[in-house]
Amino acid sequence: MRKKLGMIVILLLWIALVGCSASSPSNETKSSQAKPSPSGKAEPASGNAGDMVKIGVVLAETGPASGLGKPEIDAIRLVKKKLEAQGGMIGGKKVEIIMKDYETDDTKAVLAMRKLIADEGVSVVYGATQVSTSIALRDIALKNNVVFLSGAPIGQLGETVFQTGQTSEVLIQQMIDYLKSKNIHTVAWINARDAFGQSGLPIMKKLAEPNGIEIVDAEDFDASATDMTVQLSKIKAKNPGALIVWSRTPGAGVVVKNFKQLGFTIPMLQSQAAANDAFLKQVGADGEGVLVQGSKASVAEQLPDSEYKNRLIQHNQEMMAEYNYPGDIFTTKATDAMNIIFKAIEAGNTTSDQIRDFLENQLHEYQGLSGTFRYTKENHAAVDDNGVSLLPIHNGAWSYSK
Amino acid sequence: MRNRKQSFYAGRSKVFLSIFILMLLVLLFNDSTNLYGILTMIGIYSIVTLGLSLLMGYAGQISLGHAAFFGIGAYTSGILTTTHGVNPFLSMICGVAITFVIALLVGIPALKLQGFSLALATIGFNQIIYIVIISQSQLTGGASGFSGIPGLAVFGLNLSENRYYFLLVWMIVLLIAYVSMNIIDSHVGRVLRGIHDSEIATLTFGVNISAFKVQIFVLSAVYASIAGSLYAHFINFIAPPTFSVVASIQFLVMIAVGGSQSIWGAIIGTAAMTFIGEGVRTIVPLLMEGGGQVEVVVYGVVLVLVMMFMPKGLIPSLKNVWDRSGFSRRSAMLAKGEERRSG
Amino acid sequence: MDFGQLMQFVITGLTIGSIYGLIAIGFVAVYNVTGVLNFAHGEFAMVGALTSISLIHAGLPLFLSIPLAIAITAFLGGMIEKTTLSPVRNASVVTLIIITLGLSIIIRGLGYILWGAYPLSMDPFSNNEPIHIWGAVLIPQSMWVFATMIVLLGGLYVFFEKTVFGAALKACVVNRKAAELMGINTKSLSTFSFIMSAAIGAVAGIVITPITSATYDMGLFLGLKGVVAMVLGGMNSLTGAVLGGLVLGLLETFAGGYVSTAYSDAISFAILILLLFFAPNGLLAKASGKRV
Repeated sequence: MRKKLGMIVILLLWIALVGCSASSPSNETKSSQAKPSPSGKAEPASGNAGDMVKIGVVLAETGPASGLGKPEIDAIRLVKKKLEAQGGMIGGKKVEIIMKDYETDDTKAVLAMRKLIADEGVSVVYGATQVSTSIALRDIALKNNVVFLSGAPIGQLGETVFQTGQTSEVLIQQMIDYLKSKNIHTVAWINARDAFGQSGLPIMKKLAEPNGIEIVDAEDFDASATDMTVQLSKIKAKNPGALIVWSRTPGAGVVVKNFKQLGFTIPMLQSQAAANDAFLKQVGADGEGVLVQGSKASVAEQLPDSEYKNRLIQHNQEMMAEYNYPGDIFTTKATDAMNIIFKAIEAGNTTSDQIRDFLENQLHEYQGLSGTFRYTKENHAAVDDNGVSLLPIHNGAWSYSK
Repeated sequence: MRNRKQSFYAGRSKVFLSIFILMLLVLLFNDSTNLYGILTMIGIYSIVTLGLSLLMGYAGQISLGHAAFFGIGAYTSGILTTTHGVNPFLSMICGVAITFVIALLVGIPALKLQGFSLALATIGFNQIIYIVIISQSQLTGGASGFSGIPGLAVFGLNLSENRYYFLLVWMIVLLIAYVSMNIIDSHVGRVLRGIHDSEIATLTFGVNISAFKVQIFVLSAVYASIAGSLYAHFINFIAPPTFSVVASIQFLVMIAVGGSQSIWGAIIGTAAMTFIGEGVRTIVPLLMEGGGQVEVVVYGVVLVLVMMFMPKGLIPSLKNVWDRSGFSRRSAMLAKGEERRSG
Repeated sequence: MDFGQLMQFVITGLTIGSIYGLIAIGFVAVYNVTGVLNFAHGEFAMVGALTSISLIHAGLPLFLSIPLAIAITAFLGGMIEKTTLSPVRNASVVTLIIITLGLSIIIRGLGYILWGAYPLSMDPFSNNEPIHIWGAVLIPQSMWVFATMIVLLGGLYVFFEKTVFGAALKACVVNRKAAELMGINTKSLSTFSFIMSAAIGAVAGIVITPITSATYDMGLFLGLKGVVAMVLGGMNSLTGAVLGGLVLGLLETFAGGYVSTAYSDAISFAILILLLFFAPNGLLAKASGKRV
């Protein structure tokens, strides 16, 4: 009985502690705010007073999407570490990066985003790992007039929402250009039945026809399934000239294995979601010749000499030193997002409105690690495809052909 | 029987009163949007678990499919208000109506099954609904989710502010708890407890058990649907993973942690699980480095410990402690007096 | 109808079905003795698979690392039973199930910390040149999975039906009190059943890994399918579990192949529910004659 009593006391203390910690940030915001609104909700956009800028980050560190969220989070931790090493100051402003793990749970992501905006008073948020979550966060950002940099490709943006990394249109166009260069006119499509997987096919359908490419079959599979033989058998019967796979690991890797087993000989093109070393390890020798749309960071050593190449190599070295794996499409994207925000702050912009204006009018042509940014007022998604390339797997490693 | 009855009903006005006072205290002293958000989610999940605990604790039936009803409510509200511009409260009623019909169709055959077969059938139902939501992307937005769902407004008062939404949700929780208590109190409740203790014995009294089971199943589904609608208007965005079997399992965990033999166990369990999750995320990073997965492990450890040391859930354990403390003698006397007056 | 395709669906269905069946056998082994539906069972498959991969990477040969991984997993199973389930033997079934749910969260979290989020793969046990049968393709590892399942099924059948120890284990579930009165130490038998089931889970995880590759969260998916196969087979029948797994695998494959891949899971679940209505105690209820 004493044991039980102890447990209950601990539990009550726990709840009290959480209650306090959950409500304490509001006091800070309250005191730092010029005039707290009667509802206790921070007034967005005008939230940050002068010399303090808060950046929110909402990513999936745990849960099913953690495979993609982890490199993004590691990259941002690296940026944060470097920032703190120089005293956390940029252009005379104190900058704080607040990171939230949403556990691959949309509800938690929404609550975290609201907390960042209302309780912490962030000026800008970067997120999320998944397409669906990014859409949910986009709406909150728009409602509160806060700048949101979407890490996942979400199609429709908005006044304060920007797309980091390439849009799916740009990436699929790159695939289509490759097919045309190889004189392939029929293609089969297979995707995972999750938000990223489902987002690709409509775009492919839109782009295929004007480019003279026919989609002979489109299949999908459960994101956690361990066998895609059924879908691939159906595709084989349609005799396509190439196969495009739009899925993250492990599904993307299972397709490669089944593809090999069924004796396909056509080219296979994989999306950016498969562009990490984990995919290489998973497919092993079966991956020979598979083309994956990945970051040029993965083949930095093989690129022609340039300042860009040196920056990629430096990024790889920093990632290796800290986390024991090189940069990839996710780390470059997340790093770029932080860097363009820093650039805005350096130029003296601290509020959401100012940062948005900066990104629209003053960023001009920014050569990031993931590609060249060309944001304008009309186009919040302009990132060139020069940071990504279709990388053939050769001898269990990425190779570069261009 | 008398003793048992007391544990069900004793001091019920007291519990209502304490929740009410807690609500007022929160309103008076809290300015954090985040805390309102968390409390609102506890309220919304409590509505689901209240229904499930009726089904589980009183009718003795395990359902692992209630996240599907939660989803039907959420998607009906979302689609009707956003795509067709229907009034949110009307949409909520439509959601309830649709859930009612589906729950009836599922419940009549499913509740003829026993034990784990019923659990499996409800898992299957949940999976089917989940797949339909993902595949009907024209209607539901598919895996990318359904966005742009409006908040609620009553008489021009915008409830999308976390503070007001918190009030609304908890009023509904109290209302639903009240309805549930009355059901337990009624003839239906006695039959339900009979089913829980011994189906065969109840059957021999000439009671149509399956009709009662189906009724309570449908009622709990309707609760889940209402909670789903409230969720959709609160988060303003819905996506399929929120309504998967994993969510159904989480509802079950909440009830088991709180204790399924009391209506209040559902609410206590829901709150406890949420606060354990929040607490782990607040406290663990202070103690050690290691990122999110360490927090997940600690959460698991806490869950296992709670179930090991309080196998009947928090409510009976809390009651035990209460009984042993000095207060209880006085309150027991009060309760006795109350009972004499009311009974 | 394309015969080669039909053949392919049969082969694929049986392969997937054997995977589900292997997992379901482990569920039954624990349920038969302790009456607990062990939700952490899928995690045993994960631990077995990832441990053996680590041992292989450490330089151990295949024939050593596999038994070692199985032994480690079995030890883990025993430890878990001793520390968390044995002390609360008399708690309700739901409480015990929730404890196993908590355990699965812990093991999965530790799996992530130890092995990371990314899938790891293992080389096939034997030459992996696909075999062509009537226009369909069969990979040798599938035969390994199928054979393992049959061997395990046979071994367990002999164990439960023909040995005294096995009979004692079975007596536990029929009537625990009576078993205790007969002088059977139900406590240590419960621990033993967890050790056995963990070992079976590890075997399953290892033998399927060359086909599916292994991730820290593979247990969730496998566990769900395994439970379905087990209930379909009638909860306490080993043969039923295998049959349930095969039926589930074939259902999914044919629904995916001939109706719609998007709805294959939904269709197979719908058929399952119908099957439950007609055979509420599982496919093999009549054969085993158990009706409570």
